[in-house]
Formats: sequence, structure tokens, C-alpha cells
Amino acid sequence: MLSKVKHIAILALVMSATAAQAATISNLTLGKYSLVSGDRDLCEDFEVIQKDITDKKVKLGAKEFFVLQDETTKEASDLDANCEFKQTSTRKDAGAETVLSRTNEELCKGKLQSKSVATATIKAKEIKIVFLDNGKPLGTCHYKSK
Amino acid sequence: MMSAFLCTILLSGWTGKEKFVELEGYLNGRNSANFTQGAGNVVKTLNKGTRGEILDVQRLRSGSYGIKIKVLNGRAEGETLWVYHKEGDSELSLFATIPANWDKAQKTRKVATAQAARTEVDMPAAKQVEDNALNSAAIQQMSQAIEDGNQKVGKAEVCNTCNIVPTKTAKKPIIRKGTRSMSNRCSSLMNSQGKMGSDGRDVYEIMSEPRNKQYYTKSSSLGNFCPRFNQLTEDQKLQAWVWFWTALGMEESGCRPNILHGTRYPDGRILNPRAGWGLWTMEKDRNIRRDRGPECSNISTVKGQARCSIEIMKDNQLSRGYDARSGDQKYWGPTKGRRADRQMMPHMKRFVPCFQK
Repeated sequence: MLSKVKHIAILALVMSATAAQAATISNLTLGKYSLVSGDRDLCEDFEVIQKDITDKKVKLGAKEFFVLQDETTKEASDLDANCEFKQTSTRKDAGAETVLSRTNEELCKGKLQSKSVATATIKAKEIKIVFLDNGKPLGTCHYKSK
Repeated sequence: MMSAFLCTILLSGWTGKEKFVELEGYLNGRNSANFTQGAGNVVKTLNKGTRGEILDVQRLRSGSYGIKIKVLNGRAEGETLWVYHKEGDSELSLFATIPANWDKAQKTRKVATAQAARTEVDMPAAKQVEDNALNSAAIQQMSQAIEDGNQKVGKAEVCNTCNIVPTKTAKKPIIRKGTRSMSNRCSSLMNSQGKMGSDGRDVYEIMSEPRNKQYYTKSSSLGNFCPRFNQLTEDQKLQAWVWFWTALGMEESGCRPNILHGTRYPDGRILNPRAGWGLWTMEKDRNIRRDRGPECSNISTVKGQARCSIEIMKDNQLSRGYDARSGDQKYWGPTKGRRADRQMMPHMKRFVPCFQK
């Protein structure tokens, strides 16, 4: 009986901790981020405000959204009935650093047409985003908060 | 005794519901009750057949009237404008109620050389009209006096020396010639005469939706892409934005709605972090667009691409206190920094209401 209660308590603790982790991103500082290094055709300064962070995702700049938990989603293409889009998101927390990645693939009749990967490493007042395009490096954007 | 008799005629002949006008000829629609030449307040030329609901009347020093109407049809529909009315010589027909069929309705009055009408307005029985706004009772008495005058005389000749200037030939183009080319494909949005195509009307309507209009018509929302934005009417503001989207469509895709945008230029420079699609380079990947909300769920049509683009501009800039030209996180390359000067400004300077002196 006691071990059962203990087991339930531990389970509840783990679940609440996991939920809190997914719902927040404590390493992310709100405010303006300036580009320290990176191609200006790919990277630009941005600002993170509270409404950019929801319990499911975070928006970093004009074009980058990251899901705050491990997840795989699929969407049928609205442009080609033979194709679908698959997105795989991961999250890793290691102390003062959170790494979010997003892999986006287009598959047509099961065949891979394109694949892009974006990986954001978030530390206090610092964000680095690395882009891959069809397996090749596209660029890295390094930002610091003012 | 005579004045009492005439007063009786006025009171017994009046329905108390004169509230609508229809233009019998071209009139200037203005944003104030100043009808002098050089006033610089002409917003739009109203065509014959334009109909309106009377909101207010002001008597002018000349003895004529400015009538404020809410336009009920035509390209100025929904706008509030002032039109000129001169007793005995007017391009306006006045109605008590909305005719069930405007085309077949028998007009209740036509303006004539209204000696009798003027006399009756000046009669002690009629309410005195001052140089300030009339209340509805005064509007009614004025209208009744006009009707009585009409019954006695025929329709007047057009007055060529009046402040009303028929502008059949004097209509100003809203787009001037420019230095940067624009494809004929862009006419589906707005052509070089400033006329919106079907896609442009869709863009206009989407921006007019309540959830969007407050951002798109707010003060200086186009930034220095349109320096005179705050002097424009609401309709002109939205048309300026349609021109902006036209220009941006030209710079992003040559106004091609079904074009794929890659990640690199032919010379290897980075173009986009991911593949794009269409007029305004929406993200091709639907998973990524899903994060922007339902407005971006379907970009298979121009309307869908427009809805998504309007949402992106609003979300990235307008709702964050920025305008189309300012802020750090602009989605579109041609709106940034020197590219905005080189690519967008030559187009935007063509839009006359934004830059005219």
C-alpha cells in the first residue's frame, strides 16, 4: 500500500515537472536580440515579447517557430495532392542551455523532395540558430540580447 | 397673416422624413464643408447616380449649403463626404425615404431657379438658418421649400460659374508614371490607372475586416512608404495598402501566384531559410505556416496568399507598434533597409495621394 502511494506520488511529480518544462522555457530572456555574426540575408535582429511564447511554441524573429516539446506532425500539402509535409521537433534541456530543433520534410508519394533543419540553442541573453538545407549548411545566426 | 398662411403650407406639405440624396450630375466629394477653389479637400469625384444618406447640413456664407452624406453606392460606398447644394441650381435630388427602386422612383423634387424657394426659406415661419450646422428640422424645412419652388419652375441650366466643378475630364489619376517597371500581371491587384483588379479587391476586403482594419488604417501604418497617409480617407488608406501589396508582389515574384522560391540565388547567395511559394513568398511548408494561425493554412489561391501575408504583416510589425517600414522582424526582403529604398520606394512614390503636395 505504501509503495503504491509512493509510486503514485513519484509519477505525479514527474508528470508535473515534465508539464512545467514543456510549458516554459526558462533560459529564454525577453527583449531585443542583435545579430552578432551571421549572413544578413538569412539573419536579422528580432525581439521576443511575452506573446511570442505560448505553452506549445516559441517564436524567434520573423520566420522561426520552435515547438517546446518532442513532437512529430504531418500536414497534407495545400499545393499538391500527392505531397505531405512532416515536421519533427525535439527539445533538450541541459542546465543553463535549451536546444530546440525542427526538421521539416516534404514527401511526395512517399519520396523525399526536400528537407530543412533549424536548431536553436538558447542560453540566458544569447541565441544561436543553425540552418541546414537538404543536408548542407545554409548558415548560422548568433544573437545576443541588448 | 400671409406668413402664417405660408407657414401652414410648409407644415402641411412636409413628411418630416427627407433624408436621402441622389446626384443628377458629377460632384466633388469633400472631407469638409469648404467649397472654395483651392481648398484642397476634394477626396473623390462622385458620379451621376451616386446616392447618399444626409447626415448634416451647413449653410454657407454665400447662402448655399454643404450637405454631408454617407455614400450608399458606387466606388465611394461607405464614405462620408460633403457635397455642394445651391438653391435653384443643384445637382442633387432629395428624397424623404429610400425609394424601393432608385431607378424607377419618382423624385420628389428637382431644384430650379428657386426664387420662390429662397423667399420661403427667408420667411419668418421657416426656421432661420445660421452659419452653423442645421438640425434635422431645418433640413426638412429647406427641402420642403425646394420642393415648393420646383413645382413653380422648370429645371435650371447648369451653372458654369459655380463652385461645383463637373469633373468628368478633370479626374486626377492616383498612380503616376514611375521609374521602376511593373509587370502587367500585377494588374490583377492594381493597374497603372489605380484601378483594383479582382485580387486587389480581395486584398482590400481582407484588410477591411474588423480584426485587421484597426491595424491597417491606424496612424502612419505604411510609414514613409506613404508620408501623407494620415491625410487620406479610410478608403484611400486601404487603396494605398493595396498598392503596397502590388509593389511587393512585383518585387517578390513579378506578380506570379504559382512560383516556387528557392533558398539561394543563382549566384549562391542566400535567398530564404526554406522554400517559398507564390506572390509574396509564403512558406511552402504547411507545418511552418500552421504556427502562424489559420489565416495561413491554405495558400493555393491568391486570396489565401493575401490573407496569410496580411496576417504576417500584422503579427510581425503592425500589432507590435511598428509600421510597414520599421521594426526589426520584417518578413520581406524588399521592405528592409536599402532594398526598401531601391525596390519599394520607386513604386510607392507613384501613388499620388501618398506623395502629392
